[in-house]
This record gives sequence, structure tokens and C-alpha cells, in this order.
Amino acid sequence: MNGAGKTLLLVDDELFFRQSSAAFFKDNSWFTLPADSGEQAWDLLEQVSIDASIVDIRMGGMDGNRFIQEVCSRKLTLAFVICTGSLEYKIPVDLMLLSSVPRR
Amino acid sequence: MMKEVSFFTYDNFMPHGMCYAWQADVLWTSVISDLVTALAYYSVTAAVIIFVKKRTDLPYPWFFILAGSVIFLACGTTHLLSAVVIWEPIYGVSAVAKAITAISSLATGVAIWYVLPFFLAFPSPALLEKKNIALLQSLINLEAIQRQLELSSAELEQAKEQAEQKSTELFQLSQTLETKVQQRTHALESSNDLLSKEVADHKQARKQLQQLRNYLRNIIDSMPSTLIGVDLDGMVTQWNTEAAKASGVSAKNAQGRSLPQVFPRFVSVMEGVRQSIQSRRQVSYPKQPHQRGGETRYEDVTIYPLVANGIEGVVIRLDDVTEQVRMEETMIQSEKMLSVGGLAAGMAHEINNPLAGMMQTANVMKNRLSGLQIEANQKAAQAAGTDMAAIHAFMEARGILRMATAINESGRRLADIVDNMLNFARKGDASFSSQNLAELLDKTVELATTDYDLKKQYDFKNIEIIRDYAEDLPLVPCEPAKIQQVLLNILRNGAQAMQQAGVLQPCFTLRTQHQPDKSDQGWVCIEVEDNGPGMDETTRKRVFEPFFTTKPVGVGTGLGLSVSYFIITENHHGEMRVTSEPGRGSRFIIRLPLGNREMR
Repeated sequence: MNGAGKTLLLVDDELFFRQSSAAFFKDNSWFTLPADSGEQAWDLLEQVSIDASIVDIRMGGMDGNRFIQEVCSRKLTLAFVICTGSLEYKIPVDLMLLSSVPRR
Repeated sequence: MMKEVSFFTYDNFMPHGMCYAWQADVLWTSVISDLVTALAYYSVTAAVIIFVKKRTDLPYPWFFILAGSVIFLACGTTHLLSAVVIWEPIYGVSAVAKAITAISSLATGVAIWYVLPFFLAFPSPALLEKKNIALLQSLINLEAIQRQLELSSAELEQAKEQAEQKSTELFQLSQTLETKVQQRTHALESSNDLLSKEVADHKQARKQLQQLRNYLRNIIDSMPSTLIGVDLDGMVTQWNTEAAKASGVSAKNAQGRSLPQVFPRFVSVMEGVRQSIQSRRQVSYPKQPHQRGGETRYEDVTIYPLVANGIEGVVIRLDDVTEQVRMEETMIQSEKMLSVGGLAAGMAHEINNPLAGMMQTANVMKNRLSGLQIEANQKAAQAAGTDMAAIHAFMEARGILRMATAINESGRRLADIVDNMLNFARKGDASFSSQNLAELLDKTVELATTDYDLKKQYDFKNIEIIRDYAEDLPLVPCEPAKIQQVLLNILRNGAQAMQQAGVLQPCFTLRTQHQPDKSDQGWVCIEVEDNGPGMDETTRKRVFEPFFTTKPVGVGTGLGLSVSYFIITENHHGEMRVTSEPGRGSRFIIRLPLGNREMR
């Protein structure tokens, strides 16, 4: 879990989850960038170099799926962890096609 | 003097007077007598001849001629010659006369024997007289009759005329009559035809009536309902096959007896019978529970008054509505669950996100307050003029870490509830596979045995397991993990209930059974029975209800059985029910369909 100074982009519209997640990863030596929406995260991506991202799927505006697709289409290599409160979530097929890492 | 002597020469003879010596008195007496005699004989001869001649009807006329004419003629002549010879001695002639007399007399003397029988048979004159008189009498009678006849004849003539007239009339009458007879005959024939037709119709009608009666009886007997007719005195008048089945009393034995006597269950219904008779209205007792074969069954009791000219009695109809009641229960359950499911699906995200924030925050809090190795912690502690060891000691002393754990535990329970509630939301990705249910049951029991999740509230190892599996049980298409979840739920609940009630020899009986049916491949039935405290009717009805629990707060969510129910009925299109009575354990019955039934 140790981030060793790497940058983690946290995208979640739930404030306390975002905060606690950021705190958890900070404690584990990650540099964290919280964003409360896909749009904000996209702006951050333009300014900062990011190593990994934890993305909420269900969000207003640009949702997690679209965000990941946008990122991939820009040829930005990122590791994504998808995080959702929905038990019914399945990774969409077009997203899976972009994936190079085994799904867990 | 030798003279030629001949028979008829009388010169040699002396007159016969010489014999009398010519004494006049003797001589004359003799002569006169002979003459008279001769005359008399001739008279007789004449009379006989006349008689014979006149009476042509005489029998044997030759006899009369012989006897009458010849004898009398000969005798007369003899006598005449006797007188003559007194003076003239013609004895030859006399002799010849005598000879003739002799011959004819002899002939008569012989002949008389020949004709005697005939004359003997001849009626005597007296008899004849008598007969004559009788004849005369009859003659007189005859005459009278004849007169009468003549008279009658006239009358007859008259009568004949009348008769003829009458006859004509009669003829006319007869003709009229004949016409009438013909008409009547015709009428009779047609009415006869009608009659025989009517008889045939009647027969037909009777046959039809009988058929109809049989038909009606069949209808009544074929009814799945129990139908009982009762008269005003509560005596049974009608008793169909179902009634006989339900009561165990045959129709023959039930007829004419009082209803509570033959059907003791009906004592409570008799009040309704009275009410129905009094008000002439239908009286209903819906969903009456009663025990049969160790299970509670329900029946609708309806009492209909039989009103024709007046009230005649009532008809009691019993319908077994057990299936219906169960179905209603099922539907209520399903509806509740579906509404919970619908709610849960929408709620899950909204709850899970803040919940995740809360639980994660509690975790991070705990880490920051007690994580001795975390660099940031140490730095922050130093900056505050203390160190992590002191902070940790404080946290322990004030129970802060325990509180953080409490937040997490509560959060986990909440997450579990949301998780369970999401089970009610229909999912489309059921991964069905064919399963051996016996194996699945055994695996689940094994899992239950190693289950310490519920804080050792029961010891599964102490529970005896009796297996009663059907040998030729077909594989069942199902989602094994889900079925296991259901079975585990039942086993856990049963184990807890037996433990709580302090059952000395707790025991589960597991049964499987193949139940073929007409339409499809049938069903497989799983039964899980415990010998725990059982439950009352109110509890039994609510066990599948979401959030219904008999366990202490915090021990059960009240979702286990309702989720199980949902899994069986909604995900597997099966059936799930429970039978139980207080003190007699509980039996969960799960039926899963074998065929492909509209699965999603």
C-alpha cells in the first residue's frame, strides 16, 4: 500500500469518503489529489502528473466510466481502481477492452 | 149187387138221419145248429175278406185270408155239409170239405206260431185306448197350439211387418252406428296413438329424469366442495362424496342423522345454520382452520338457505382453501419483498456511500490515533509536544479505540442489512447449474458445523442430523450458492431456536423427495425439520416477512428467512413454506421446479 511519494487522484462526490480515503493514503505515503467530480479531476490531470486514480463510478456530470475512457483516449497511462457503492456494477465492455490489467 | 163204387157214390150209404133214428128233436137241433154255425162262419169269412180288403195296411194279410176266409169258409162248408148228410149221404164231399178244413186249419195252426210274436207285440186295445186318449189329448193340445199358432202367425205377420220396419230402422241405425263406430274407432285409434306416444314420452321423460338425476348426483359428487344438505331440524338430507371423504362417514350412514353427530367439527357451524334459517340469508365463515393429518388446513364454510315455498333447510358448502390461503400468504410475502427490493436498490448507493465514508473515517481515525509506526503520526505527536505512546495510552484509557471499533461494527451491520436488502432486488445474472441436492445439503451442514459467526450461540456439533434422502433424486437446476444460503439460514435459525429452548437432544431431519407432475418434469422437495420449540400461528405467518425476528435486537436482522423465501420463490420459481406448532418443532418445505420454468 505504500505510495512512496507517488500521486494518487481520488475522484468521489462523497466528501467524507474522499477525505478519509485521502487521509488513509496520505498515511501510507501517497501524495493525494482529491476531486469531487469527473470534470474537476480532468482539470487536475491537465495540470499535474498522476500515477494512479481511484474513481467513483456514479457521479453527477462526467461519471467514472466516461472519465476513464477520456483518460485512455488521451493515451495517458494510469492505473485505475474503480470504487462504487453499487453492488450491481459491472465493468462495461468498452472499458474492459481498454484494460491491460487483470480485473479484481 | 156189385155196383161200381166211387168215392163220391153215395148209394151205399145211409143218410145220417138214420143215426139219429130220425128222432126229430135231436135231428133238427143238430141240423139247425150246423146251419147257423155255417152261416156264422160265412159271415165271418165275408167280414174277414172285407176287413183284409179294406185294411190294406194289415201285416201278414195272407194269414188273415188263410185264417179267416179259408178256415171259416171250410168250417162253414163242413157244418153245411153236416146238415146236408142228414138227408143225403154225400160223405165223400163232406170228407173232402173236412180235409180242406183240416189242411187249412193245420196251416193256420203252424202259421200262427210264426206270426204270434208279432201279434204279441201288438198293443192291447186298452193300451191303445190309453194311447189313443193320450193321442187325442195331444191332438187337442196340438189343435190348441195350432190355433194359437194361427193366432201367433197373425201376430207374427204383424210383428214381421213391424220387424221389417224396425229392421229398416235398425239398418239405418246400424249404419249410423257403424259410421259412429268408425268415427269413434278412428278417434280411439288416434287417441290410442296419442296415448302410446304419451306412454313412450312418459317413459322417455322418466328415463331422462333418471338420467338427469344421475347427472345432478354426479355433478354434486364431482364437486371438489363438500356439500351437505340439512333440514330444519338439523338432520342431514344430502351428503356428497367429498362430505363422506371429509367426515369418514358414508352418505348412507349420514342420511337422517343430526349434523353435529356425524360431523363433530360442525358443532360451531350449527349456530350459523340457525341464523341462516332464521334470516334466510347466506352465512359465511371464511378460512376456518382445522387440523388434518398433522397440518393446519383452511376451509370456507358457506351456509345457504334453501327457500322454495317456505324455508326447507340449508345447504352447507365446505371448500378447502388451504392452497388459496397459502398462495395469498405467498403473494403478500412476495409483494413485501419486492417493495423492499425496489427500495433497497435505490437506497443501497445512497446508504453505502455515506456508510463507506463513516466506516473508512473511523478506520483512519483509529490508525491515526494508534498507528505507532506511521511517520505522520509521530511527526504530529512531536509537534504537539507528546509522543505516540502517550497518545495510545490515553486512547486506551478512554476507550476511544473501542469506540472506533464500535462505529465500524455498527457500520458493518448496516452494510450487511443493505447487502441483504439488495438480495430482494431482482438480478438478471442468475448462474444456474444442475445440482445434486443431497450433496448440497451435506455441504451446507458441514458449513454450518464450522460456523462460529454467531458468537457461539449454538453448538452445531451437538445436533443430530437424520438424513432421509430419496435415492433417485434428479439433478435440480439452481444457483447452488443461493440454495446454500437458504439452507444455512434455516439451519442456523433452527439451531438457535433449539439451543434457546434448551432442547436436550436437538435434531434436524433432512428429507429430499421427487414429486413428478403431469405437465412437466415435476418438482424436487427439500424438507428441513427441527425438534425445537416450534412457533404459534401468528409467528408462523410472519417468519418470511422482512425485518420480522424473534431474536434479541442485534442478533438477527429479520431478513434471513425473507431473503431465503425470495431466493426460492423469485430467483428459482419454487415454493417455500413452513409448518409448525408450538412444542412440535418446525418444518421448512422447499420445492424447486425441475423443468425450465420461465427463468430469468
